[in-house]
Amino acid sequence: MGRVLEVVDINTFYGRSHVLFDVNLSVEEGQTVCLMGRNGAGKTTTFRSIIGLNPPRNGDIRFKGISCRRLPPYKIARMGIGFVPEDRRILDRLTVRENLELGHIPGRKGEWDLEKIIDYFPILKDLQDRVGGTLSGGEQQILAIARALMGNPDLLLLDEPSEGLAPVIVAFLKDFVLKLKESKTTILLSEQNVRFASAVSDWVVVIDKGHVVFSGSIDEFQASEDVKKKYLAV
Amino acid sequence: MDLSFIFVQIISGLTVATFLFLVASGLTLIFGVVDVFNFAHGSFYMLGAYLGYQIISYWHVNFWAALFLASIWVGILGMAMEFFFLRRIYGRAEEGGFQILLTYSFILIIDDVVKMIWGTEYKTIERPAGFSGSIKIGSAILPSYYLVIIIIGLLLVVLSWLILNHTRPGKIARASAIDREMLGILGVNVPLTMTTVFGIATALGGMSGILAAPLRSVTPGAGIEVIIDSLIVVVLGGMGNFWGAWVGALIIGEVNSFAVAYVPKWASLFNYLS
Ligand SMILES: Nc1ncnc2c1ncn2[C@@H]1O[C@H](COP(=O)(O)OP(=O)(O)O)[C@@H](O)[C@H]1O
Ligand SMILES: [Mg+2]
Repeated sequence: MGRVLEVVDINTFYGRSHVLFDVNLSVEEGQTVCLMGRNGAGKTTTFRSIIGLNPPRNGDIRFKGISCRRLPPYKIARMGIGFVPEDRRILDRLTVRENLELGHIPGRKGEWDLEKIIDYFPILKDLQDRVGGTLSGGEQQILAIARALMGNPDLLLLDEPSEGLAPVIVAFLKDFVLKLKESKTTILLSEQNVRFASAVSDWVVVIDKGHVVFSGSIDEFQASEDVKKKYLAV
Repeated sequence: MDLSFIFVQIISGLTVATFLFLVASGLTLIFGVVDVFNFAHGSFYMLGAYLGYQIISYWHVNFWAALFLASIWVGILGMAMEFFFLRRIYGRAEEGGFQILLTYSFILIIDDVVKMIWGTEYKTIERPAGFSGSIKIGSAILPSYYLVIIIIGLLLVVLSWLILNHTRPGKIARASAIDREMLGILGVNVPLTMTTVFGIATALGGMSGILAAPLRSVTPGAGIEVIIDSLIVVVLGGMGNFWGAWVGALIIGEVNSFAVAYVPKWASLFNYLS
């Protein structure tokens, strides 16, 4: 099993404000890693650093062994990182099908295409001609994930997928992430929902005020009551 | 009221509308996709007319070849303007102010360059061979060149619709108007998209300049006139709304044509439009 992603001692800033401090994490092929932490801990910033929207000032990010710290987001995406942002970013005046089509990255081959996506997410079938902006929050989340998969990523980044969704939809998402796991998709997700995270992850990294404060297997995480109490709102 | 008179007014209104749309569509495309209000768009129109004149009078090629070549050259100049200048100000806090300064300064530069090269006298381009006369439809007599303009305009509308709705570049252009950052995350080279759209839109501007040259003589300062007309169309159609620009152009073209015909003293109100 190879390392798909290595984040090495990155420091990320928004203007003058220092947000990530020497953050380290890595994701092995086929693994699901969960980045946990309270609101404002630095989860989204970590993702934005990886995808190139907020490149870290120092440290390194290696994807499949190649440093991508200085690359623009579109090149990182073409290398095979699919990103589902926290706010989903559905192209609201385009149809569902057009959103999916734009997820396709010419030149990247893999199992996902429009047909398979519709098979996998039957609810998208009837929504295909709807304009993105008219979907519910849950539908948008599913579309955002489906759109990222259309690019056949080697690593899928999911930023707080369960945030703000009704319990039924969270349950659906959980099953769905488990299904992706079975198909050996490599996933890095962030969560505040401990139950959701526990159900899907192999490895947990906890971040607080921009520092990594815990990194361990899901069993170690489950056993560390003090970590959960201190750094997560359980 | 005479039906053939009405028909002639409709056709000449359509001709004016087509010109307005050709120029305004590029302007609104740049505004919608690149998020820049390009005051120099009219100057590219003028540059197209001068380049067309130059190509025809010095190389003695036919009108259509000149139309093609000059449009491409203007498009390349537009891409250079985007690549070397506008690209540097995207996303800056002061972007709005810089945009006005930068695009306005291009009006002055292009105007002066045109005067230096071609002087200040009027230049004219002949109507293309075969379209210098008039045709009779019923009892109405119309310059055949008007029909050429209208057909080119309609072809362009159909082509734009196909490209914007049914091709990947078209969908990317529409998506850039919504969320450029997300497009980058989806693997789209957004900077290249911006340059390309800018080039296509300025090429359209240049093309309208040459098409218009046989009807209005080519003069320095034409750029300013045209930008004012297109601004009205673009605002009427909704800034950045491609189809709105079409409707806006139709309304202004027809209203202009009929108003001038029925109430001649209004002509002065509208004459800057045609
Ligand atoms: N655009 C921004 N400009 C300045 N500070 C920001 C910006 N976005 C986030 N921050 C700050 O960075 C820190 C980490 O935020 P974020 O990564 O969004 O946390 P999380 O995703 O874990 O909730 C917070 O203190 C937040 O206030
Ligand atoms: Mg966040």
